[in-house]
Amino acid sequence: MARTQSRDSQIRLDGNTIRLSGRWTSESLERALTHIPRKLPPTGVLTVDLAEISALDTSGAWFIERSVRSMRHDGREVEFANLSASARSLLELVAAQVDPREARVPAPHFTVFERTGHATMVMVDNLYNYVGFIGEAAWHWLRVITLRRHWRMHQLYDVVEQTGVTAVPIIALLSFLIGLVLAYEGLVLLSGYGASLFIVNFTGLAVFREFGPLIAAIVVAGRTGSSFTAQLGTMKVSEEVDALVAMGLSPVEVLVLPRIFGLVIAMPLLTVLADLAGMVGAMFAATVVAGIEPGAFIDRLNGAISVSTVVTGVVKAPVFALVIASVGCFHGFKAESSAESVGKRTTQSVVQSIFFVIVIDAAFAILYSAVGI
Amino acid sequence: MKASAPSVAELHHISTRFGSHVIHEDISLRIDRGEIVALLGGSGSGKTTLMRVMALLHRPQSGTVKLFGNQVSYAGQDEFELRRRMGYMFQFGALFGGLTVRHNVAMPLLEHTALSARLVGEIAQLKIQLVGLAPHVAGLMPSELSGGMIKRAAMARTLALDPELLMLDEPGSGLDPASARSLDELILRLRDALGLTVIMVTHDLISVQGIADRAILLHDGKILADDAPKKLLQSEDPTVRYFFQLKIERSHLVEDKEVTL
Repeated sequence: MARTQSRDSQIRLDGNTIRLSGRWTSESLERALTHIPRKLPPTGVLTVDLAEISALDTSGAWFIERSVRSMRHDGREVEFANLSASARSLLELVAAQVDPREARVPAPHFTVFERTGHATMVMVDNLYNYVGFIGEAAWHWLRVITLRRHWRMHQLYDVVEQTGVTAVPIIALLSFLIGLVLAYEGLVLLSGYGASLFIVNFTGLAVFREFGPLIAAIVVAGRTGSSFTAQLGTMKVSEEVDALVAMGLSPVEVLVLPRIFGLVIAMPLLTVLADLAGMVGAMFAATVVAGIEPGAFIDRLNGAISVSTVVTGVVKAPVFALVIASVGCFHGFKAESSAESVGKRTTQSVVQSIFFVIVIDAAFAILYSAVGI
Repeated sequence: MKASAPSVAELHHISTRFGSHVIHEDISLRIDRGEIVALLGGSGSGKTTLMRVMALLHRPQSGTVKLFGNQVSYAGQDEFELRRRMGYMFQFGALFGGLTVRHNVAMPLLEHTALSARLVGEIAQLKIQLVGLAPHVAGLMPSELSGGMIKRAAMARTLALDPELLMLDEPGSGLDPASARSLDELILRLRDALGLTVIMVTHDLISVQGIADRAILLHDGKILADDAPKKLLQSEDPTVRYFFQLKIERSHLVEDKEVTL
């Protein structure tokens, strides 16, 4: 595309005539901006001559118009010459608008205090709304139970499959690796005391009490919590949620309850899986590093870990599931009508559910130590 | 600007399919500079897809597209060069939700020109007012706009670079009749002032009669009629008559009433 010549816009001063030439379009306008005549003839009527202009668009027209306005503002008389019909029409169209320079909205500026206050209010507001949301979900749940409304089993199965079955490989792999690393690091310390066999007690307690439930919860928060938020957020944006309301259905009952209960079912199962995979990892490391036979490992584990230890870990899982699913759904419903808002809410949902999971885990630890388990 | 009337867009033997579903079958047409062309047809007749083919947003299964005299190869940098000379207004606006209206309009200018941010801001503001939006709308986010305002803001963004070829997907839908007419007026005015070529997909027959130079009626994957809107209204073809809501069994008297509105 050889359109190099006369692509640029030019301004020449010729007595009292300002001659414009070349292409006056948004692409080639910048050339003219660097060649604005600094000094205008001191007296007389100025003429803007457009005879040599080869192209004019609204950007060019606005630039001409604003220059003419500022010359007129300085008390000069300005007239146009050699205007083509289309150029005249365009200049008139541009001149008829409210001066765009007047419409400048000052960018809002906030101080640190205002930002902090705003962020705090948003947090308080979110918490308030979240509590309300939990209440609403609980109320709908009671209604489903007492009125024996249908349980939407099909959706429940879907959720269990989506959140549980498809998460099996990743959770198994991660737990296996964590168990392996845990045993390996522990053996470095314990073998120094000649107490390698105690690795079974150590990894057993750590995996069943803490790592199993936590790994399952964190992976689920990342993959399921985020997907709940994105699903519901997109449904909100495309007015599907409103469509449910308009049909006389409750979005909480149709969308939220199956997700919460599906996850409450799937999460303990995933936790047991994480426990087992973690112990297999630990067993593997113990065999390879310390030469503890798998049979000896399992025997030792039988004595070291009671059923109650396993239960104290698994009991956390439904609580984590409740939090992850409800936080995910809550943020989905809070999304506003833009792609950006859905993204923001998804981030918040994952961050907050992982935060809550760890806080709740700590609360369980305190509770267990208080009752002496 | 006033070359010897070269074509702006040409389609040669275009066929498109979605899976086994045939949308267009061997469609050829030519659009000249300065024309306002309306693409008509029932829902699902492939109007929007045909326009997307012209806008290089959809690649047809067979056939060639020529834009501004260049044959489109669907390869290399040429496409970007061609796209800069076209503006496409999407049916639902497709405004970027994370940017204010002013930023939406300023974006193509900032990306494609070397103008200062300040001048770009002024030009964006001007375009926003040009399409009939109140000055303060420039500072709003797309989620704060009504349906009609979204249309206008989308129009302003489409006009940002003063494209030679303007493609509008149902510009008047969702607007009240008065706003739709003023949008029509704006299209006419810009065509006259900027020498634009306009292709629009529309269901608004008043707008077709008011501003279109040519109406192309798509039916069953083919061009059923391609003529001045007035001529189409006198067509004897039953499908054309059906589309223009001219009841075949009724007399000519009723025709006049219904059509001119």
